Amino acid sequence: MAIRCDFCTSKARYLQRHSGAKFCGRCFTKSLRRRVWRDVGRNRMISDSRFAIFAVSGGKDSVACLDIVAPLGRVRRTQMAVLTVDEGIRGYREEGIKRARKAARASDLEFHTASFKREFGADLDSIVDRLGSPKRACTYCGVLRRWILNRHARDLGADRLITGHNLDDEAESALLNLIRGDPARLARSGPNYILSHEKLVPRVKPLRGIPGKETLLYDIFNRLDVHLGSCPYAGFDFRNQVRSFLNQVEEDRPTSKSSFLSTVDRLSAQFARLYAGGRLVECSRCGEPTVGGECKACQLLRSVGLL
Amino acid sequence: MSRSEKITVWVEVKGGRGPRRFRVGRGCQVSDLLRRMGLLSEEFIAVRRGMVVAEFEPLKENDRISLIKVFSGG
Repeated sequence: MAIRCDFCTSKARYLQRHSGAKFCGRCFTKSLRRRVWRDVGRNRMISDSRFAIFAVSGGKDSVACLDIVAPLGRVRRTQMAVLTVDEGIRGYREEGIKRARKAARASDLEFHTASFKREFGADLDSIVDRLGSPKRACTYCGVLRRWILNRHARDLGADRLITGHNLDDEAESALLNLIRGDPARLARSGPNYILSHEKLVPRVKPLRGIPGKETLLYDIFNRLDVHLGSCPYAGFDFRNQVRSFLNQVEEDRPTSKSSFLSTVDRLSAQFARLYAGGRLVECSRCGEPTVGGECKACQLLRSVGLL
Repeated sequence: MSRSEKITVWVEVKGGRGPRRFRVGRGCQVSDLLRRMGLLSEEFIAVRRGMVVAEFEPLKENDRISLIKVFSGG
């Protein structure tokens, strides 16, 4: 006999290991939306926003985030749009951009693109060629993507940048920051945005409490078209080792990631007080906000001869 | 019907190699299959005939299971 959903009579499709609850697709969708909407409200992510931009890659998280949060924005009469960055990764990025455009159309939002090639004069593939190895591709990609997202969101007049980071991403980043011994960065993380510079568009992460598995389930249950391909450079990142470790711990002890992240959040609140004096200033070259001197994006571009 | 009785299932990891054949005990669940393959249930979603299958779901003779990787990277 089929095992039933705990909330209706339909067949159960998912066992939420940390709670023990069994869900059918419909009840799971309702529950996940409710959790995200509650977090968006509790952390005042868009409550006073006039114009919010969704950073959408076309992958499982950003597409789910758009699908869940856009209706909430409409109710609150927040103007919204979608922004996608084309990093320029042959044979990989094109599919994601197609999905991002489709998701924007489905939510009836304006679609904007920005690209490494247009902004920096070189795409990620040619930056990797200049580096001579793909080992640091994720470092360059991450820093330059954040630079572009902030610049374009600000140019479009946005007062929020909504990203699809999920619980796994956040737990990984927290552990990476601890391993690297970077408490200042830890101080800048956390569930609540801090307006630390007038040129920095505050970033909010509605899926911060949702495991990656659940965002993919949401996509599948709601037939959202997402790009599931693997980035050819992702395998070289140290983050993969951290991810495997955390997944193994979570498998053995469900709730580990969320307890770890909430502990780190409490620590980061303490660190934020310690590092409160470190205000952001404008980069001496590009004018974007940075901790001092030349920003990381300019330093990286200079290192590969693009400045 | 006993657990020692064996059934055949076909498993394919999306984006990986073609389907692989497994002989498992009758009553074997999706979670048992993942464990046998050395995979974490945290990292995969099992799909049968286009529908998500819960990890406590018992496998049936000649089931074709697709495993979708949660962490594709990128």
